[in-house]
Amino acid sequence: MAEIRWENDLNASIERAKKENKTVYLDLWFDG
Amino acid sequence: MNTGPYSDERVQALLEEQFITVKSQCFWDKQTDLMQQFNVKWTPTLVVLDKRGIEYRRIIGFVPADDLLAHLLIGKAMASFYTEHLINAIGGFRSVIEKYPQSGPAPEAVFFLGVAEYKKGHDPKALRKAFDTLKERYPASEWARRAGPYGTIPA
Repeated sequence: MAEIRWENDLNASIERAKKENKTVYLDLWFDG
Repeated sequence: MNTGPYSDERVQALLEEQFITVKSQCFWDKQTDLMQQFNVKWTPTLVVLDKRGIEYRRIIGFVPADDLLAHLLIGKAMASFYTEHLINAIGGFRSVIEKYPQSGPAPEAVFFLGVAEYKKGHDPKALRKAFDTLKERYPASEWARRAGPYGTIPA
C-alpha cells in the first residue's frame, strides 16, 4: 500500500502539473 | 495514513500515475484563501483541475473508491472535451464506462461519449447509440432523459 504524496501549495502543484503533464486533484477538507 | 477511498490501492495508483494531489484544510469559523477561491461550503469538497488550474469536476461529500475513480477519470475526460482534445476525451469516457459501469458517473460518461464521438465524426448515429445504451443500461438515470431527443435519430 503506497502513501499518497499530498502537496499543500496549489499554485506550485499547478506548475508541476504543467511540467509533468498531469491533472491536479484538490481535496478540501474540514476537521471535525 | 490513507483513509476512506484513499486506502484503496487502485485509487492510490491512479492518483500517483496521473495526478498531482493537493490537500488543504478548511475551517468552519475562518475562511481560507482556497475556501474563498473555490467557494467551499461543505466537506469534503474534491476538485479536479487541469494544468491551467481550471476546474472540470467537483465532488461534495463522501465517495467510495469506485465512484471516486470514475469521477477522477471523467474529470480528466471533461478537461479534454472542453479543450477540444476529442480523441483523449473519447478514450476517457470509454474508460469510465468499461472500468466502472456501476459508478455514479457512468451514465454521464455514456452521454458525453456519444456527444464527443458526434463532434469528432459528425455522425449523428453516435448520439443515437448513446440514447440506446442509456435506455438499455441506465434507464432511470437523468442522462437517459437528457438523451431523449437522440432517440428520434435513425439507428
